[in-house]
Amino acid sequence: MTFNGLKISELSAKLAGKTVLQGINFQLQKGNVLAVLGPSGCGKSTLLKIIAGIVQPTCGNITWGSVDISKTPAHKRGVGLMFQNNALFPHMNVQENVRFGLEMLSVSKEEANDRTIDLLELVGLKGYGNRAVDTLSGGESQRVALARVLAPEPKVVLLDEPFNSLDRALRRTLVDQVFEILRAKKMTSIHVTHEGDEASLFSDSVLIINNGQTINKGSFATIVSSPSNVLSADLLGLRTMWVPKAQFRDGKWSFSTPWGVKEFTGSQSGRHQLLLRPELVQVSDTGAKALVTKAFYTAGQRYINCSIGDLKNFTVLSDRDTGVGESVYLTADLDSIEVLNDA
Amino acid sequence: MPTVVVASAFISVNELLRLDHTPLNLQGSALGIIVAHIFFNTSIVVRTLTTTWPMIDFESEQAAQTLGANRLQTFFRITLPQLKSGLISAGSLAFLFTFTSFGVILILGGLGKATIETEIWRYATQRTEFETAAVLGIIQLLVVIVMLAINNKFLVTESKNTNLVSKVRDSYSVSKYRKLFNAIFILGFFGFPFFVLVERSLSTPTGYSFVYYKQILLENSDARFSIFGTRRAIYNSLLWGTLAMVIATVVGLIAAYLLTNKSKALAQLSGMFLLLPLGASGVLLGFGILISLNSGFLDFRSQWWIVPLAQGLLGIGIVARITSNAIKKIDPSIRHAASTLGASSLIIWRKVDYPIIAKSIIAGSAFSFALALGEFGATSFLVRPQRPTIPTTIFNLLGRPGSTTFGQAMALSVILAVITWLVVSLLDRSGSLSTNDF
Repeated sequence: MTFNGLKISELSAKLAGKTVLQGINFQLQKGNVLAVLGPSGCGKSTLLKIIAGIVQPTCGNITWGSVDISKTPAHKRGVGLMFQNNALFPHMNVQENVRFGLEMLSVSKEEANDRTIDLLELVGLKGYGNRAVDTLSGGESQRVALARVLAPEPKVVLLDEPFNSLDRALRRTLVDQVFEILRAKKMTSIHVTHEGDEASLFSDSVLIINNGQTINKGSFATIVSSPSNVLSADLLGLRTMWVPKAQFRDGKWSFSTPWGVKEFTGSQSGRHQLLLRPELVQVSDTGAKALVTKAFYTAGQRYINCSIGDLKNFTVLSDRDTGVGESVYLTADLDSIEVLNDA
Repeated sequence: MPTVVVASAFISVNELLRLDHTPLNLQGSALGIIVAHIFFNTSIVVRTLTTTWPMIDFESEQAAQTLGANRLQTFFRITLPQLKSGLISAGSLAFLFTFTSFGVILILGGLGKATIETEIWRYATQRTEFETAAVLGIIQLLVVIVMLAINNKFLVTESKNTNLVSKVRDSYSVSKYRKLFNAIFILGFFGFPFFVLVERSLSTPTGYSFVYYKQILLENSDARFSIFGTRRAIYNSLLWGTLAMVIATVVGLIAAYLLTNKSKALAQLSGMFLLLPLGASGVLLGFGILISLNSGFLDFRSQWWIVPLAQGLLGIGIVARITSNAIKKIDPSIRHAASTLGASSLIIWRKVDYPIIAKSIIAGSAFSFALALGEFGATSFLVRPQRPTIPTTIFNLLGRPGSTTFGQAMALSVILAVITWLVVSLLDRSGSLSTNDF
C-alpha cells in the first residue's frame, strides 16, 4: 500500500558553501502534525524552505504520496509556508493578501471573495478585509498570514516559528487557535519551534535537529520518557542535568553521584551527562545534605534549587516550606538517574 | 561626471562612428540629448534601487512563490510595487537633473535644441532680454520645487526590514550567462563613450600620440594655442574648486545643524532655502548673481571671486544634505551620556559629533569640489574670457573648427574626467555616501 503523506529521504543542503542539512529522513502521515525542534541555526528553517521549494537541496527526495515533488518549482508545489515575520505583502490590504493565492489559482473573483471572507471569519478577523497590514497588531498579522496560507488549500502547511515575536499569553492563545483550525481542516503540517512545551500541545511526532542532523525522532511521549541525549532533554525542558565525575574501567563507566556510584556500559570515547528529574528526588530527614539557593513556582508547583557540594542548581519538586539558605536532605534512587549522550 | 565631459564623450562617439548623417546622429539631435541624459542619470536610479531593493522583505517574494506565483508574477505583483517609492524618487531626480541640464544640451544640441535652461542663458547673455530670462527662470524654479517636493515625499528612508542583513537571500539565483550579459551591457554603455573619448584625445592626423596633452599643458611653448589659456584654466578650476569647497563646507555644515534643529519650523525654513541650490540650476544661480550684483557698490560681476562663490553656493546643498543625514543618525542618548559625564557643548561636538560625522563632512567637501570643478552653468555667466575654467575652455575649444582644437577639447575633457573620477572613487571607497544624500 502506498504511503499517504509527506516523505523526506536523505535530504541534504548547502547554503553559501556550508552544509546546513545532512541526511534528513522522516515520514508524516496525511493530516498529522510534526514538530521540528532544534537550537537556533540548526537548519530548521532551511528544511522548511526546501520542502516549500524555495531552497534547492543538494541531494535527497521529497515525495507526496507516490509523487516525487523534489523538482517541482515552489509556485506549483502546493506547499504553504508561514514565515517567522509573516511576510505579509506591505502594499496590499488584508483581503488582497489572503486572496493572492486564490488569484494565482485563477479562482473566479466571486469565489475568491467568498473564500476570503470565510477565512477571515475563521481566523477571527471578520471585517478586517480593507485594513492596511501595517495597522495590524502582531497577533492579527499572524492570523492574516494563516488565512493567506490556508486560502489555496495546500497539501502541507509549514510554520516557521511564526509565534516567536508574541508575548507568552498571546502566543499560547494563538497556538491553540491555529492548531485547532489546522486540525479542523485536517491539514498536514510541520511546525518549527524551539519551545518543547509548545510542541507537546499539538504534535503527533517530533523531529529534533542539531547541526543539520537528526538527533532524535518519535512521538513526544517517547522522547520525553527517554530523551537519550542532552540536547533533546534540554529542548524538552527536562531538569536536572549535570556532568559527573567519571571513570572508565573494564568497558564500564562509573559516575559519582551524591547517592553513590552509577554504572553504565558504553564506549570510552563517549561523553555523558546525568539526568535526574525533580519529581524523582525526595526531601527527607536523611540522604545527601543540600543548601537551598532558590525557591520558585512553575505551573502552580513549588520547586527548590539546591547546591550539593560542587553540584549547583539542582532542582527538586518540594512542597515543604524550606527557605533559601536552609539545609535539606535529599534522597534519590540510583536507577532513576538517567545517562544521556552529550555529543 | 561633469556635463562637458559627457557631452565631449558623445561627440567623440559621433565622430568615431561617423554617425553625423545617419538616423543615429548624436550631435544636434534629440536622440543624442536623451541618450546622454540616460547615461547621466542611470547611476542615480541604480544607486536608489540598490538601496530600495534590499529593503524589500525577500520573504514576501518567497511567500508569493509558495502561494503559486511564478517569477514574472512575483516580480510584477510583489517586487515592483514595493520598489515604487524608490522608482518615483529616482525618476523625479532624473527628471530634475535633465530638466535643469545645461552643458550637455548646449554642447550636444546647440541652440537648435533649446530648453528652458539654454533659453535663460541665451536671453540673458546673447539677447540681454533679462525680463524674458527672469520669467523662464521662475517657471523653471516652480517645476524644480514641485519635483523636489515629490522627491522628498518618496525619498527612501532607513530600512525597517532586517531580513537581508541577517539571512542569506536564498531566492532565485542569477545564471552566470545573465551576469556576463549584464556586465558586458554595463561596460559597453558606460565605458564605451569614455573609451572613445580617450581614443579621440590621442588620435592625431599622423597617428596616436600625446600631442594634444602636450599642447594644453605646455601651451606657452606655442603661442597659437595660448588664446584658450588651457593651463590657466586648469589652475583656475583647481584653485576655485578648492575655494568653493571651503565655502560650501563651512556654510553647508552650519546649514546641516539648522536642518537638524529641534525647532521644526526653523528646520523646514532653512531646508527650503538651503536645499534649493541642490535642485535649482547653475544657470539660474549665475543669472541671479548677474542681475543682482550689477549696480552701485554691489557691482562685483568682474571680481574673480564671484565664480568660486557661485560654485560654493551650489555645493552648500549637497554638503548640508550629506552631513545633516549623518547628524540625524547620532543617537541623542550618546550626547546626553557625554553631558552627564561633564562634557560641555563644545566638547560634545568635538568628541562625539565630529568623529561620527567626519566622514560625511569629508564626503560633502569632496563632492562640492567635484561639482565646482565641472560646474558650467553659473560659470558660463560669470567667468571672464581672461579667467577661464576647464569646462568653459572645453566649450570654447569645441566651438572652434579644426582637428587640433577638437583633439585638445578631448584631452582636456579626459583630464577633467580623471580628476573627477579620482575624487568620486575616493568618496565611494570611503563609503560615506548614501542614496539619501542625493
